[in-house]
Amino acid sequence: MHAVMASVGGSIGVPIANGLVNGCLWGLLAIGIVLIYKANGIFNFAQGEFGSMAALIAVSAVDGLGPFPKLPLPVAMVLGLIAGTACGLLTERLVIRPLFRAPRATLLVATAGVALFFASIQALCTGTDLSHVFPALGGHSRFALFGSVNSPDAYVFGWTQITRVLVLVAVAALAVVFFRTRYGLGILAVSQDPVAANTVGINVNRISMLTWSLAGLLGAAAGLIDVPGGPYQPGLVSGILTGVGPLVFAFIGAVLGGMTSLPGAFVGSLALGLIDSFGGRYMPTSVPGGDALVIFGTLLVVLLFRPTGLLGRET
Amino acid sequence: MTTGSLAQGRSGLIRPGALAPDALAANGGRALAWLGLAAAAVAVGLAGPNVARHGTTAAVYALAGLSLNIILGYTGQLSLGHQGLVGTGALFAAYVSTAHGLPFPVALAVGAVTGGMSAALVGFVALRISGLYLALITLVFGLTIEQSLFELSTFTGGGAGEAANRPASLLPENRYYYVCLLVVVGVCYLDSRLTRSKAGRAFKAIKEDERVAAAMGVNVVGYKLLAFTLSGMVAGVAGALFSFATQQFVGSDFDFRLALVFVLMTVVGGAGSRAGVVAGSILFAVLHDFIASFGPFKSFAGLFPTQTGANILQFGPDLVGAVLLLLTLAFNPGGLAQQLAPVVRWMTGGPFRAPAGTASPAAPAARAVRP
Amino acid sequence: MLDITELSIRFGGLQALDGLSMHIGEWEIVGLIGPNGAGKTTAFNCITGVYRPNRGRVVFKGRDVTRLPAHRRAAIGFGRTFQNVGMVKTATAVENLRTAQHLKAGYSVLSGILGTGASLSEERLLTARADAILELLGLTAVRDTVISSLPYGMLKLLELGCALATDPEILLLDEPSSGMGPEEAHQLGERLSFLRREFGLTMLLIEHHVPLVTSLCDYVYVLNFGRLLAEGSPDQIKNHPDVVAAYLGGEAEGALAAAATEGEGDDGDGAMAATAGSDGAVR
Repeated sequence: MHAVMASVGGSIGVPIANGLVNGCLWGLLAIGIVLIYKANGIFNFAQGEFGSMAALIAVSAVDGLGPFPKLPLPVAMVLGLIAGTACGLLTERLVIRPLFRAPRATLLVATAGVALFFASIQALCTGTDLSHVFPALGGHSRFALFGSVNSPDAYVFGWTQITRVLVLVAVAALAVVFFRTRYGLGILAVSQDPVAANTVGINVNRISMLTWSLAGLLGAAAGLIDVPGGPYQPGLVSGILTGVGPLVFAFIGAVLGGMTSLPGAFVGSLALGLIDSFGGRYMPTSVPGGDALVIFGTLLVVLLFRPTGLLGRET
Repeated sequence: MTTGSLAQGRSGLIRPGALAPDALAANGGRALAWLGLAAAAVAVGLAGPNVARHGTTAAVYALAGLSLNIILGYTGQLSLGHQGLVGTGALFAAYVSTAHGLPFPVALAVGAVTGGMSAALVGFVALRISGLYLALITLVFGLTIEQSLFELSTFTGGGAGEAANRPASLLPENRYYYVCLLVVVGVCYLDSRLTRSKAGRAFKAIKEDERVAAAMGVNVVGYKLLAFTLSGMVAGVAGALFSFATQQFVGSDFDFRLALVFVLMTVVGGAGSRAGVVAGSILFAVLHDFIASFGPFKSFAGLFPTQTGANILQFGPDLVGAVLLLLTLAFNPGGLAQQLAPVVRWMTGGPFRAPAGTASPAAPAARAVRP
Repeated sequence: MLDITELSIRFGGLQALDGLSMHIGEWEIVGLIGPNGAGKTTAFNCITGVYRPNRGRVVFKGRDVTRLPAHRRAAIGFGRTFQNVGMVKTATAVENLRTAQHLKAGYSVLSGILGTGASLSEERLLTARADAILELLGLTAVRDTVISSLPYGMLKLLELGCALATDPEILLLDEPSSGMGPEEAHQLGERLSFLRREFGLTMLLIEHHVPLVTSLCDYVYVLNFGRLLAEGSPDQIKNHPDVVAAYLGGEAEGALAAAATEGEGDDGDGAMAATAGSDGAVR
């Protein structure tokens, strides 16, 4: 019985667990992406870099780099969150607001420029130095599903993975609450019709700052749960200098869920996590980049056959 | 001077009345300007192998820019995966040269064809998807190609990168530079003919409004595919030349960063303007290649502790590029093309100062994407 | 010439056109009128191939073109203008006219790119034709001006020129007199009559300008909420009770409309051309 469980776990449970945990990370980024899409009508290519900047600050604090003394992990994380939020706010003030009358293409290219800007700043700081490893959260405790920690068919995980799931659940719950508050409703109102919102007395300027700060915070959180257990690299969340990062997956997850829906963002990302997990498994190893092919195929199928995604509505 | 159809003259180069004394002086000035430009281009090849190598890089970037300009500047489709097209041409050119021993010109042609074919595939997708979503899918396409096609062992020559050896006659850097220069000039000529022909006008109409284009009789589907195919062919040639420049194909050269650089240089140069895009591309090529070996910049980097200094040299240009882009979008939306417009107009026979109601290439990239 | 049968199209929950049937005979000038939002431009879009209707047929000279792509319709004789000026705004007047002659450019794309002698002489022909159209419409002065800096009335005229450049047999004009004062509109009417005579054209016009419709059109169709409300000669339509009601709405709205027209006074006998649409929206 135990053997059957183990093998079932191995072939189905592990990919499911893997996919869902990945999906949680991507979902966090995706929520930020959808938020900006609803608010400004563009794809924010800099979303990942809010996370990478947060990771940079956090790693520097932990390792005592630059102006930072060595600080304990929780403090470093908080600093990282602040940094990411600040990046979001800065982007809004210096790039988005001045260009607010510009056509969408301009804003799109601008966010790409912002992404490159932040990635370059990070590269200036650490360059190709891979020695700064962010400690895995919660030390080296290991747990396992579908078998023991040592069995090959089990899904082995640590606090980092648990955190990813917990953070997403927490954010989802907070989002539900937040969008019933004055500020949340304000964001939704402005995203639907800024002029009407203004007429009703909502301070569009302030809401815009809030939206982007929120996006920065979400991006920062994503970066902070992405980096533990591995070396910090500039642009890691976007994959600008490292190849492919979680950002691309987040975009596809957001599209899969329907770009107009915040719950869709994480449902879509979780779904993508599963698709990626299972697809990657069944791709022959002789085909390199099978992963990328699977998600590219998914995106193509969604955009060609069901552009509103799983949960989206026609705007 | 009349500007009616008769003024076009037989070849369009010599206008009637061009031999009158004051026109002669102005045209003499123009001829000198063109000669100066040609001399400068030639001089790059005579200033030693290092400068020639930078010139080659600039030429390759210029070709990449011109190719992106066809879909972004002329037809208004935003592609963030252009590095994939360039890389495809680079890969296949290197492959047929090394694995099958085909001669250099054939390899270039193969680069063009494969680039064109992959672009046509992207074009098919672009027919059904537009705007922001096209940008996204081309981005993912570029990444996917880099991760899969470029990693196939038949093409990668075992990790170190597939070799792409130049024929012996082109080994000297300055000779190879002249070959690249010739290709750029050739493509510029073909591009100028394209914009003046019915295809160029069709692209512009499609960029403006597809319904209007169709009402004027333009087969929107066909011409969109044509734009992508032409763009891909030029990109493929750029890639092929790049492979032979470095004498190696390395898949990871064609990463997301390069996609951003291509878009940046096209926008900073001024999408929709040939001269602007070439200027922007040269600027970015110089930024990356030349600045790292530029004395004063090196001294500046040297002021910082060694590791940071090295980082500044390697990644500084990217930062400068990003800042340039943001400044361009905010303050100079037509790109360098706006600054160059009077010069270009004068050199092609028009007045230096714009007559009333003349087009300024203001924000052409901005019109590129419909919501 | 043009037969539209039971044309219907639905967008999501909105039935934009419902069983529209029209017949336009050869060399007729037919008006299509109705309050804003009635579906007139939607009808044009279905006829010219921008939209594909859910039901119904479009038959041109005996040929069913309902499924024909838009650019092919332009090739077989449909010329059209758009409500918001359908031209390339960053190009000059002559450039636009050359673009509109796309189907007439008798050379292949490849020869265009290579710059062969044949393509160059074809281009000269296109330019000559463009100049001829400019002269016909009295627009030669703005030949090399970028059209975005031209006044609206001139743009509409140039757009007419672009439609003519496609060498059409039938012209579909979407509010050709918008932005024109009474004088200009009258001139337009004369021009259109002239064009009909000179080039043997058939025309279908979407119009709000009552004097123009009355003086120019042989027959008028009235659209409201996507359905055909009435049809007949301009005089019959003018006094048709349903038509008047559709434009002026109920009593209160009628009073509003009357007050507004007094303030506006732009179109001569503005009863139908003025303000209140059937939903009370002021134009």
